[in-house]
Amino acid sequence: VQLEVTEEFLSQAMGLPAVGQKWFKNAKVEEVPWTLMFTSRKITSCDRGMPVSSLKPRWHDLLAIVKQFITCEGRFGLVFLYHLRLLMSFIGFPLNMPYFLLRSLYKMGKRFRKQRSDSSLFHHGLIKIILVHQLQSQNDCWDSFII
Amino acid sequence: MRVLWFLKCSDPSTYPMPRWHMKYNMPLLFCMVSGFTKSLTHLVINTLPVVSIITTSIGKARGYGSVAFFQTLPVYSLLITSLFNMAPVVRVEPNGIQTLLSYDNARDDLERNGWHLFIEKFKGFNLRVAQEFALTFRWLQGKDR
Repeated sequence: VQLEVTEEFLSQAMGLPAVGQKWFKNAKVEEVPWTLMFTSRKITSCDRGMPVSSLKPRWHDLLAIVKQFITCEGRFGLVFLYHLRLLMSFIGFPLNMPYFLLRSLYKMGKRFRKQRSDSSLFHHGLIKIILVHQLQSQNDCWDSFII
Repeated sequence: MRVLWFLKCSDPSTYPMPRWHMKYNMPLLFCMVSGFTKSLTHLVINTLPVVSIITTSIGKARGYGSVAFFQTLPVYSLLITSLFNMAPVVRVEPNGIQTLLSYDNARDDLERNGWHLFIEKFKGFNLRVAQEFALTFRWLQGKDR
């Protein structure tokens, strides 16, 4: 299977519109009031991560979902600035998710090719979604593809 | 018991991912390491505390004058166990439906944001396919960023 993964393709495959701010982890988080998500108003920096317990309870479950599906990591005890930016999309600061995931896929692929280690491999579920979408457009299915 | 459970769950494709794994970091890291070699390593490492406690008991029973070495063995082995539990992991996303059922509070927010449809599309994975995809994924628009 050969396919060109673009923002439009990801948008169709995931069912998420390609609207909102085009942002990825290496860009600054500007004009987003992420400090409102913490219980304490004294928190003004999250560069080195903060404990999840310092977030308001409303965000705990959403953060866990973001970590499992979007950023795909295991550091469930800490919250970083990029998590907060993703969470802010729930309260009126939309993010272009196809763009974010495309950049994340590229970053993962680049690291995996360099390290050849399974620890640098993630987005397993997203890869399956992409392939299933492509196979459906070719009137094929996942099971026959795997065989 | 713990070792048997680990061996059963060491293959991520059969990983059950119940709610308490999602909430707490340690068991997740512990059982998401994949591969036979790593399983074998963990089998050895996890039996070290038991072995060292037995050797300590034998040392004491035989009446060695200095039992400091035997007494510190469990500490060292527990430390090694902790370090190996933090070994590289295969990061696997759980099944979407299970997750949404586990997080009732988040469901409304996800539906309002439109993410619930996306998350419900997560239906398993194939490690080999993911590896091949990552190996062949290239940035076509201009040079690598």
